[in-house]
Amino acid sequence: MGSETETQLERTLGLTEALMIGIGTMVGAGIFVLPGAAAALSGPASAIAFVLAGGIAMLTALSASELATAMPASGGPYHFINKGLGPLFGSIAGLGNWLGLAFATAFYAVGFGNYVDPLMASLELNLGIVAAVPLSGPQIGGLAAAAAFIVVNYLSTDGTGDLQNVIVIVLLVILGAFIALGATQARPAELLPFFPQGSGPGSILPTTALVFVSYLGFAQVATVAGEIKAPGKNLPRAMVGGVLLVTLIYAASILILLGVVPLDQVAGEGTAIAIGAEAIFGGFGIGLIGVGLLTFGGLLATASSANASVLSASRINYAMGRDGLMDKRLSKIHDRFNTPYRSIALTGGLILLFIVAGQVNALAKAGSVLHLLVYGLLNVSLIVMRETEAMGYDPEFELPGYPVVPALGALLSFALIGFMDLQQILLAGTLVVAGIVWYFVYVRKRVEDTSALAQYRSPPAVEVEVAVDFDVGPDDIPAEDIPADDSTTAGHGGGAND
Amino acid sequence: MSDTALTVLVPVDVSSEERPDPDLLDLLRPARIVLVGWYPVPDQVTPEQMRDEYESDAVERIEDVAADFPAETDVETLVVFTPDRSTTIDRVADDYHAAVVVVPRDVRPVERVLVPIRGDANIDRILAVVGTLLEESEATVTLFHAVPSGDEDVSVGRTLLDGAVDHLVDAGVAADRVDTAVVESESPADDIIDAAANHDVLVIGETEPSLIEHILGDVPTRVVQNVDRPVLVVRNTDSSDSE
Repeated sequence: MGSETETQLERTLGLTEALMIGIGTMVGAGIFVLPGAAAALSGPASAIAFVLAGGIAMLTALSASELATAMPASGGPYHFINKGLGPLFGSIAGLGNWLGLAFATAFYAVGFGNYVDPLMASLELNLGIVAAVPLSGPQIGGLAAAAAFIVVNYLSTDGTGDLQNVIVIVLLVILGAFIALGATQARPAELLPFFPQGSGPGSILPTTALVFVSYLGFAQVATVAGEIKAPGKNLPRAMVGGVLLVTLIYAASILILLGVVPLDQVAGEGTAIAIGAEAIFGGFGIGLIGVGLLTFGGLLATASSANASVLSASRINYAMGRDGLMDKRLSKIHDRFNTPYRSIALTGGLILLFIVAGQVNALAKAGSVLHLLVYGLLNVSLIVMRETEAMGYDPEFELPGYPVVPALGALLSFALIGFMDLQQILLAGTLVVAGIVWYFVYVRKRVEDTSALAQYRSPPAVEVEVAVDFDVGPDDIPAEDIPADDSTTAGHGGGAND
Repeated sequence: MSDTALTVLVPVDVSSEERPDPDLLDLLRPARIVLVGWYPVPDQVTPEQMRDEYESDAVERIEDVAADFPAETDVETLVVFTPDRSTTIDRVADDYHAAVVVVPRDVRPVERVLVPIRGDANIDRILAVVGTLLEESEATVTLFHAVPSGDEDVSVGRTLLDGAVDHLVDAGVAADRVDTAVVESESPADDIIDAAANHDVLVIGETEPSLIEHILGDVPTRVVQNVDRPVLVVRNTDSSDSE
C-alpha cells in the first residue's frame, strides 16, 4: 500500500470525431444563415468571398495546428497567445475569444430562429405578435433556442457528443443532395452579371468580412487538442481538412443556389437555401420534400453550432481561471450536475442579451471581428515562438511555408477587420482597451509573465526548477504539491521546459 | 510462469461509492491486479478541469479500494479521467496486457463459477484463467455449452467439454469440482443468462462480433448486460502472453 497512483487523461477523439467537431460547428452558418445576406451584397461573386474567407481561415488553421500540437491544453487560441505573448495579450485574446464565441452563438441562435419563424407562422403562431416586446420572430425563436441550450448544458446532458457525428453526416447527406440535384439545373447564364452592378468587385471584401463567421468552427478542434489521439497527425488533418471541405461546400452551394434561383428572390432572405431547395427539388416534383429537408438541416446545423460554441466559451473561462487571468470561482464545477454552471450561466446571459440587441448581420460581424483579432494574435504568437526559440516549444506538426504563412495569416486577419462596419471596428477597439484595462487592474498583480516573449526579453538568471531538484530540504514535498491545486501557471511553465 | 502472467483489470467508478465485493477480490488473489479508477467527464468540462478539481478525491478512493484486496495481492492503481468508459478500459487493458476485464457486481461468497464455452472461441485462454483462479479457491466450476438447435450434434459439444475438463484437471483443479452441461438451445445468450442465476461468477470469452452480431448484439455483450453477477471477460488478444 501507499503505492503511487498515476493519473491519466483519456484521449477519446480520433480523426473522424475531430473532423466532425470542426465541420459540425462550421457548416451551420455559411449555408443555412448567410447566403441570402451575402448574395444581397455581392451576388454570385459572394462565392469568391466564401473562398477568400476560407483561405484566411486556412492560414490560421495551419498556425493553430502547429501551436496545438506543441501545447495541447484546454483554451485553444487564447491559450496559445497567452503562452507566446504573455498575459497582456492573453487578456485581450481571452476576452476576445470568449465574447466572440458568445456573439457567434447569438448569431447561430438567431439563424435557428429564422427557420423556426416560418414554421410557427404556418401553424398560425406568429411569434411577432407579442406587441409588448419589440422583437422579431427570429429573435424570439433564437432566444428560446439559446435558452434551451444554456439550460441543457447547465444541467448536463451526456451524449450530445455522440449525437454530433450523426448530425454532421445527416447534414452532409442533405447538402450533397442539394448540390447534386442543383448541379443538373443550374444555368451559368443566371450567374451573370457575376459582380453586383453598383459596387462591382469592391463589394467582395466587406462580404468576406461578413461570412468569415462561417469558419470559426475550426478552432473548436484546437480547444479539444488534449483529447485527440495522435494529435501530431490528426489535429492538422482535422483542421485543414475541415476548412477545405466546408469552403468547397459553401462555394458550390452559393453558385448552385444563384444558378437556379434569380438573385432578387433570395437576396437578404434568412432561409435562402430553403427557397433554393423548393426550386431545385421542385424540378424533380418533390419541392416540398426539399424545403422540408433543408429546413430540417438549417435547424440541425444552427443548433449544433450554437451548442458547440456555448461549450467552448465556458472552456475559455476555465483556461483563463487556470492561468490566473480570471477568477477561478467562475469556472467552478457544480457538485451535482458536474458542469461549469456559473460560467455557462454568465455566458448564456450575454448570449441572450446579444440576441435582443443585435441584428443577424451585426451579430455575425461582431463574432467575426473579435475572432479575427484573436486569430491575428495567434499567428503572431507562432512567429514569436519560433523566432525566440522558446524553451519546450517542440510541435509535432510544423506548418509549411514559414514565415510566409503565419505572417500572411496575421496580416490578412487584421486587414479584414478594416472591412467591417464602423460599429464592429469600434467593438474590436473597445475590446482591446478592455483587455488592457483588465490586465492592469486585475491580472498584473496576480500573474507573473512567463511567456516566450518575456523569457526572450529577460531570460531568467537562474533556472528555479533546477535549484529545487537539488534541494533535499523539507520544503521539497509541499513545493511539489502546490502546482497541482494552486498556482498552476508555475506548474505549467515548468512542465513546458522539460 | 503462466501464473504470474495473468493480469486482471478491475475498473471502478471513482466518482461514485462503487467498490468491488470482497468475496470477488478473494477469488482474484492469484492474479496481478490493475485497479483502474475511472472518473466520468461530461461534455461540458474538459478532462483537464475534472482532474484539477477531483484528482485527490479520485486517488484517495482508488487507494482505499486497493486496501480491500487481500494483503498478498499484487495491485497496481491508476486513475483515468475519461469521457468514455469503454475506450479507457480497452486502452488500459492493452497498455497493461490484461488478459481479463472484470465487470464488478455484488456477489455472495464465490462457490460456483459458470464458464460458458463456445467451440470457436479462445477456449485455451479462458481455461487458463479459470485454472489459475481456482487453484487457490474452493469453488466449483460449471462448464456450459449451448448447442444452437439443429446446428450440430450434441456429442460434439460433449467432446469439447470433456477436453476442457482435462485441461482444468491438468491445471490442478480436482475433477470433482468440475461439472459440465450441454444444452440444445434456441438462444444461447438466454440460456447462459438463466444458468447464471445458479452461479456466483461468470467467466466468459470476448469474441470478434460478426456483422450480424454488431447489429443484434453479440452473445457476451448480451450476457454481460443481462446478468447481475460479476463477469470476468477474457480478452481476445495474445498480449497477455507477451510479458
